[in-house]
Amino acid sequence: MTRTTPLWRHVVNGAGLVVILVIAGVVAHTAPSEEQQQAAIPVRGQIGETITGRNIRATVDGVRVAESVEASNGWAGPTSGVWVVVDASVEARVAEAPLGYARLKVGDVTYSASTRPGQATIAATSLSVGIPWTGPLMFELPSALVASDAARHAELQFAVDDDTRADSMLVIPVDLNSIDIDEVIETERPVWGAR
Amino acid sequence: MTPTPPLELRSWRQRARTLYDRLPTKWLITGVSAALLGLSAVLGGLNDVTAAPIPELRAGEPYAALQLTLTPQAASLIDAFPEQGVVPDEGNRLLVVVATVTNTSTDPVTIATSGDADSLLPVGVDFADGFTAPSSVIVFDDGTLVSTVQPDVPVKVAYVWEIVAGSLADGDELRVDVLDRENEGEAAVYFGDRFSDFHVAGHVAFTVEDLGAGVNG
Repeated sequence: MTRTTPLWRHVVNGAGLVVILVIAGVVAHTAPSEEQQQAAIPVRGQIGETITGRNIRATVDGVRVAESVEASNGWAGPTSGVWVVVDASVEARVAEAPLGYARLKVGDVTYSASTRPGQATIAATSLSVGIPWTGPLMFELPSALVASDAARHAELQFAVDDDTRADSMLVIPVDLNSIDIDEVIETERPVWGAR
Repeated sequence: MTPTPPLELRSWRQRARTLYDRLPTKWLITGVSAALLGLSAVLGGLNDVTAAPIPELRAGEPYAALQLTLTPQAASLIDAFPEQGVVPDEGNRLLVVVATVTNTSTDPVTIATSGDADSLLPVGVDFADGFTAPSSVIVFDDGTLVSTVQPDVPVKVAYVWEIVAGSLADGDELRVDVLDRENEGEAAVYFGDRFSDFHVAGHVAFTVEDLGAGVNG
């Protein structure tokens, strides 16, 4: 004699299966992707505020825009665009490291701090623990971009390694639209140890 | 004693199946491969393919490579760039190709010396030490050594190679290849873009001008 499974058990099994599938779907769609798991960890702040990440601390004192720059070492780099000059103070916190990632992001496009000014910029300098480098970073941008809508929501991004995955990235919003474009900017000599 | 089974009258289907069962697998695979190859040949799969001609570019004509638009403009010989510390060994000279470079990607692109970006390559030149990648890339306007070009900011640069003196002279014709590549994207165990299929995308012909010690020298 065979016993037939009651109908209510079929219904319960089916409902249970549906619940499991729904939960699996929710997990699959909300689990962070590999890119999200490895993404830089943003630490947000404002101009004038000291922002601290795992191994980096920075203060952006001001942002200026000019058609040309006269650097402290005599370099005057012409550009077909404009220079965005960021006066900043950057130091390491737990171990010596280079300022490996200093970018200005406008929309989806990123610009790296120029190394053309040589010793007149703190780009790519080696950061010591607790001893800040204070000086300018120069970013070369297309002229039209500074006046674009995307430039209202530009972001300065600093990290100690050019591979920014899974480490702190300091993020400071900048409204480039609100900054007047000077004809020329003179920049100060980078100083090691000053605050 | 086991009786001999009677001969059965088999249909052609049964006989075909028996033959198929007796067919060695090697024969089967070889036969199928031969059939596919024959079909490919019938459809023209084994015909010679005419390679697309590499375009001849004029001096000053831009070529849009994967990340950079390169506009080679002139080629010259020069003794040295002492202010930049670019001084060749004795018996060598510097070959300079001036080009405007525009980064068309969304990130800064390194163009320095490793030959890993869209670049230029002189042909038929006796390179010092055999290195075909530029030994330096110098910004034309301010004389700084450049390593990175920013998106949508054109920059006029001098690609510099150290060559054996005498391998190129004033008035010689020089062919420069424009090199391009493809982006394969990221891989499972690799971070960042991967590039492959490096190829010559165009030729530019120049008449070399010997500048001696330099434009002011």
